[in-house]
Amino acid sequence: MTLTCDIMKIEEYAIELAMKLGAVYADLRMENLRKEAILVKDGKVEKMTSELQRGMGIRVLLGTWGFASTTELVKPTINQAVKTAVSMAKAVKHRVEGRIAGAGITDARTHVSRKIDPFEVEPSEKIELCLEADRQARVDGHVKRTSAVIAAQKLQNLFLSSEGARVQSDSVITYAEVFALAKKGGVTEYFDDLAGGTGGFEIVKRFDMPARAKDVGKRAVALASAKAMPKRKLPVVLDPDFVALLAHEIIGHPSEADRVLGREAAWAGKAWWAGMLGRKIGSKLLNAVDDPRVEGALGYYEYDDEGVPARRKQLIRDGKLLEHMHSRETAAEFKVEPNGNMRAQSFKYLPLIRMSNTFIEPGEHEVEELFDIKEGVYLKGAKIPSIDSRRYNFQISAKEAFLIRRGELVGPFRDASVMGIAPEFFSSMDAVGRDFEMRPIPNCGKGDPMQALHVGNGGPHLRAVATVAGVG
Amino acid sequence: MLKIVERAIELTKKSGAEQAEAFVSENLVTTVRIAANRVVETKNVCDQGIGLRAAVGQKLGFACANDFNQELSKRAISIARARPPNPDFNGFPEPAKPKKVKDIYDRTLAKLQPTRAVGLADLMLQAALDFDRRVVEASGALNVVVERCAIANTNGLAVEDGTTRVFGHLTVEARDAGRSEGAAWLGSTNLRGFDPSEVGKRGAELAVNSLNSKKVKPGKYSIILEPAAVAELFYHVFSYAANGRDVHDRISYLTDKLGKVVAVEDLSIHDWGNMAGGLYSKTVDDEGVPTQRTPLIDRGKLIGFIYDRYYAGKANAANTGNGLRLTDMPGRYYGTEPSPHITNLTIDPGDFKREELIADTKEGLLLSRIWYTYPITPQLGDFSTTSRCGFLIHKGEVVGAARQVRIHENLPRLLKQIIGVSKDLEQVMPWGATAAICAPSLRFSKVYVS
Repeated sequence: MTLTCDIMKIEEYAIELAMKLGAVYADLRMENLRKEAILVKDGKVEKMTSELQRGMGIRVLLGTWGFASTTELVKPTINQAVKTAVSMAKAVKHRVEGRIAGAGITDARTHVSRKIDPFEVEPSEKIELCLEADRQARVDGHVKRTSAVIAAQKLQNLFLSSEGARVQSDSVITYAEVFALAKKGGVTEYFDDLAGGTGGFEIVKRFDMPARAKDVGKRAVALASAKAMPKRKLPVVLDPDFVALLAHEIIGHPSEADRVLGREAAWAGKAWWAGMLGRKIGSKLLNAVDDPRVEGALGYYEYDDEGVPARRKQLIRDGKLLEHMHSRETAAEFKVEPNGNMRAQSFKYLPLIRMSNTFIEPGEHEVEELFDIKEGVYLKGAKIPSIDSRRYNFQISAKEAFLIRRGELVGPFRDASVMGIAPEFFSSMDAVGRDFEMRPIPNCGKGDPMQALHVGNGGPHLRAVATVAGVG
Repeated sequence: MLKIVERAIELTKKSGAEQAEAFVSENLVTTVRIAANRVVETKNVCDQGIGLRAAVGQKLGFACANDFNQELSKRAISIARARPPNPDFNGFPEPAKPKKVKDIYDRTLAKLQPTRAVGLADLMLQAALDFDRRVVEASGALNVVVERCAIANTNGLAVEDGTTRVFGHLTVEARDAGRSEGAAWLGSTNLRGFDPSEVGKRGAELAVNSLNSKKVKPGKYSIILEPAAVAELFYHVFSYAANGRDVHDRISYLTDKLGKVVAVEDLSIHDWGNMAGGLYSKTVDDEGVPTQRTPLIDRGKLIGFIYDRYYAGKANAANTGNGLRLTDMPGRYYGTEPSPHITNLTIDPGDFKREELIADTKEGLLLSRIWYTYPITPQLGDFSTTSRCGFLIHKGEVVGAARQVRIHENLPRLLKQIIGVSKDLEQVMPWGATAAICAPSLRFSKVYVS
């Protein structure tokens, strides 16, 4: 699993060939990926898998981007890939002499630290842990389905550009999940919990799968006994897990500069706050950040897939829209420095502007203060979003909901969703907790072909006004 | 390819496997991406590899890599040996002679030079920009997919398959006093059946017609979903409900509903893996089982689900040839084990012309496209979505464009509120989907919009 000198020579050859064929810029990513996963379902090991992948993707600029990737790392195939990337870009009729903002010349090696290498942990230990978690989730006869997953991946990545940049990185991601589904009377409900981030098997140990699984089982049974949430517009208190998905959907995505420029109109959509940099878009309590360098978070990295150093970005401060996430190309259009948000799912894909770890910053309120209201709803845990193409009109369903009556919680209620209009919702934020939690989101989708990426999202408890409803 | 999988089986058996299955795939995906009226990216992906399942008793291991060597066999076997048995593992499929499926592989398309794909994308774009002076911007993509695979197992099954498809999508913006959006999607398994200009024209026409939109008051409306909107709803909500795995896992709202009436009598749905010219048709599934036409809902009654071999065994049901290996990149993927997935989900055509559905609507909405449609609670069939192109209907006529609405509804209830199915079907692949939906327009009564 090392990138050999021979292979690196092939890479240098590929860059040289691209430039000889007329590219004004070329870069290349080569990867070695190792993945392992165990899935236990209903007390049985259903899947145990091992995946090895390696390959290379080359990107060339000739007034438009050309890209080709291959899994066959031999000279004739790489030759062909480079020629294809260049010839496709040359075939474009209306090429524009676009600029890419300078990225500096980097020569770096990066490494994600891990206490316990997940690939060194005996399979029997992982299996037993999943089986035990699966057993613990079956808290009583109402639990009808259970599952437990442990997965890990190790990625070695080499980035090389015609400008002389070279970044070698190796990273490890470890992930665990527990799930339970309960049926009581005619009602079926499920609950899950997960942990994941950059780092080793210590993530799984910290998660304490059996204890979490037991809790998941109990909460699934409680939800199956719960009433559905009636529809009302009122103050809502959102927990950090819910805020994580909110930050992902209505702050992270519209902060991607390609969406702001309308370049994603056909797929992921646009951004309602296009052209509003420097303007107020919400309450002064709203502060949001994208930071790839949050160690241990699922969206952690030190250099993006254009070789740009990763850095923290203050997207929103005191309710004012300050900065977007950029590629070198969009940075040039906005006349700003590139800020390190270009990433690809793998060498097979052309990088896109993606969020890394996007979160709402903690505020000044004690969490208990948020519940000090006459009436409201407390929503815990995010399930499924449905957001319009401008990230303006949103709906996010919660795992659990509780009525707040003069500071006391009544519930749980099941099947509750929060619906709102982003600027109205942001403006209504009147309390933000001091607490903070970062959550893993392992499958953020964007692009054509679709690219699913690991990102981190998080935030504190917060309070705002929204419509809460089940489907009545 | 067959030689590779047969050799892989032989070596895996020699390494100690009692049963084995090898799957090799090679996908060529060419994408030309358009944004803001120009081609901004041209991409060509060549992805090949092998997935190997090796069993020792009822202990199954899976390993994959980009090429085959003895190490891969050893890795799959060592995984199998390291784990406890799964009593539900029911082996690999027996050989069966698949029938040829018409019009799923086009040699011209398979040999299409990537540079020609750029020309097709240009035609798509130009047709949109030339349509009307109010058209200001177009974005989209053209994709050409060539997928080939071979499967062999220790039961003597050995089969190859190959498919091609080309599809284009354009989202078009028009401006007048205000702004509007239109979109079009067309796909074909062969080059001669794909008209790139038509994609541009349709997207532009919808954008221009969507200008000057009016606000919609919240309330209950009669709603007509056009094929692209029906495809979005049925892919994201219905197709998973009809999946034998989700039914077994009890997260489908159709669990325990087999044999019951789940829709109006006018609705019949099947999955059709061997449909001639189907965008996701195949000769065999990714376990080597011949594909078929699988009825799911017959005149409102739920009569079946889709299965791969494993979940068919668990449900004591027939394997429907839906064991697919999928990933985000188009094509059949060596890197995953098979699991049930739809191919071409097909809704039977009805008796009405689209115009008749509109003429029969006193007050309602015609929605051409909906967006970000996901099941909130899959076990209940609740979903939430927003419209992306919609029109107001008044006294049987389309009277103008409608502003965005949100629909927060329940699919089981809506399937019993269908009051019209159109005669015409369109094949559509929603964004990010790994299947096609052949959909008519559907008219529903009393749908709540906000």
